[in-house]
Order: sequence, then structure tokens, then C-alpha cells
Amino acid sequence: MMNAFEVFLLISGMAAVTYAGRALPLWLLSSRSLNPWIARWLSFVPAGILSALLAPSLLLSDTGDGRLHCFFSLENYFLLAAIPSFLIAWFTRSFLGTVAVGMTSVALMRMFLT
Amino acid sequence: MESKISGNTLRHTPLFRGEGALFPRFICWLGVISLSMRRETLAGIRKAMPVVLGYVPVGFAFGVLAREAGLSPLAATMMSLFVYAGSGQLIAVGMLAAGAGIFSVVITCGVINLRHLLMSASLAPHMRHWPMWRKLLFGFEMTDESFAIQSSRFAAMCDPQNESIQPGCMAETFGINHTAHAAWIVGGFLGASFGALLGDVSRFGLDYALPTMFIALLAPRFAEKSQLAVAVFAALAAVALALLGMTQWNIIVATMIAATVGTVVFTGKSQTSPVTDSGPTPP
Repeated sequence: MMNAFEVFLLISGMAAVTYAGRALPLWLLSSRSLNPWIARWLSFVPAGILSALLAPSLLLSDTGDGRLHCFFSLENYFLLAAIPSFLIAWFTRSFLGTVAVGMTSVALMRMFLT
Repeated sequence: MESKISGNTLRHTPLFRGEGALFPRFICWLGVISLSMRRETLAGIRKAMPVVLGYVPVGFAFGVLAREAGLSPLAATMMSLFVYAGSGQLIAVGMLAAGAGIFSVVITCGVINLRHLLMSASLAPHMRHWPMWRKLLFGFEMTDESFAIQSSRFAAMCDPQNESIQPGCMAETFGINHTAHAAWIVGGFLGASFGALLGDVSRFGLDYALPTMFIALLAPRFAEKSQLAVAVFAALAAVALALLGMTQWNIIVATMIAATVGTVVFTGKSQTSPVTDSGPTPP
């Protein structure tokens, strides 16, 4: 159990390291024009980072002992639900529609397949 | 003010009835506040709804775990307010529950959130004309999800060359960010205060809200071959690195490798086709 001072240290420490990473580039980079190579590199960051966040959540599973392994199976509902989500996103470009279809797919599969 | 209608005990509580009734006042204030908002702010709140759907349950889960790790509801809510980092907070309470020290929790949180360094660097050129305090406020609320929405919006609406549409764009930008932040705080507060009352929320598919959101934001970018190639490469690299045991740095390392490969392979080839929805383009 932590005392109030330790809780304060914990929250302010976490807030400081998190905020530093988020704000420093905005503070330092946004008022100057960038080298075209760096601008080009940064233009690939959104697609890369979204994909790097998404792929492990669809393809990997925790065995329980803390080790990860590839999860290719009809029981991987996250991966299966990615198919209708992607099709809706590609053809309708609807943000809310994609999220609704994805969540409904997972809920239905959990209801009827497990 | 004496009401003859009775039967509903709720209506006789000071919350709903009488001189100082809180509930009608609350509705009034909501009306006043939403009328006084800019149209763009309301549009931003609407655009944040998918994030709210994802943040309330995940924030709730954080609140429950924070309680189990020994944090009070107040401390959990304060953490959601000041830290505002989903994966960082979830891993932090996991470590605390396992008995980790404050210092190692803070360092781990920093490492996990280092990926935001890349995100805000890629958004920075769009904010060239913003006042500094706006930039710093934006940084305070920049999460994976708000970045995902803003990076698509900024490319289309907040062109750094075009200053004229900035004010409306800014109101909508902060409408989105504040709404998402509020949802995260409310979720954390509810989870820490009433977490034990509710069972497993995963049967509603709520735990899929964030992955499907990433899909919604990625798919339109795939119209451009170079973006698709970088995304596939980043996905493979992130998975491979995680399988090799790199579970905290894999996102940032995979993104850096993929962006570098993309820059080397595609610069020169596709300079004639302007990047429409993927951030700043070289002149």
C-alpha cells in the first residue's frame, strides 16, 4: 500500500515522462520547415504506427505464461472480425460504421460460436 | 413549487425537486453550454464518439485494476486526468499489483509512451500557425486514438499552407480531444468507484472498439501504394519483434524501420503523386 506522497510521486512522474514525449516535438519542430526527406519519412509514420499497433492485437495471443505466439485459428475472433471491418472501411469510408460492424461481429461470434 | 403529483419517490429527493433541485439545473446548464459552443466544437464531439465507445470501457477496466492495485478512486481518476495514457496506465497498475517500485513503473510508462514522440513529430508541421499554448495543450491530450483521427483530419483540413480555415479547424480539433479525454476520465472514475458491480464487458465486443478503430483509419490510406507497403512492413516487423521478445519497443522500432524503408524505396518514384491523406508532402 502506498502513502499519499508516493501516490503523488507516481502520478506526477508518469505524467511528466508521458507529457515530455508528446509535447517536445510540437514545441521544437512545428515552427520550422522540415527537410523534404524528413517530411517524407514523417508522412509514413501514421500508417506505420497504426499498423504496428493493430497487427499484434490481431495476430498474436498470450499463452498464459507470458509468452506470445501466432494465433491463426477460427477462434481468433479479432482476426475474423477484421475482414468485415476492413471491407466496410474500404468501401464506405465510414468511421462509425466500421467501428459498429467490428464490435457487433465480435459480440455475435462470442454469443453464437463459444 | 409544491407538486401534487406523487408516487415516484425519486421526484421528492432534493436532486429532482424544490428550490435547489440539481437535476433540472443540470439539464439547463447542458443546454446553455451546448448552445454557447461553436458548431465546429459540436462536430468535434460527434467525431469523438467512436473513441468514447472505446475509452469508457477501457478506462473502466483501468479503474477496476487500479483499485485492485491499491489506488483509491481519487488517485485513479487523477491518474486518468494527468497521465491520460491507456497502455501506460494499464501496465503501471499491473506492475504495481505485482509489487514493482515507483521508479520502475515511471520508466516503463515513459518507454511505452515514447511512440507518441513519433506521432507528435508527424503532426507538428500542421500546427505551424498555432499559438504555442495550443500546441502544448494538444500535446497533453495526444493519444494513439486522437492521433489517428487528427492525422487524417489535419491532412485534409489544416493544411499548413492554408491559414484561413484554422479557427474552425482548431475548435473541432479540441472538441475531439477534450471529449475523448473526458470519456477516459469518466470511465476510470466509474471503474474505480463501481467496478465490482459490473461483470465482464467483453461480451458486448467493447474490447474490439480500439482495434476496429485502427482498421477504420488505416484502410483509406491503403489507396496509396507506398502507404500500403509501409503499413504491411510495419505490421510484419511489429509482430516479428514481439515474437522475439521485444514487447515494449516493438511498435516504435517497427514504425521507424518501415518509415525508413518507405522513404528510401518510394522517394523519387512517387514524387509526382501528391500524398493526399497522409500528412506533409515534400515540396
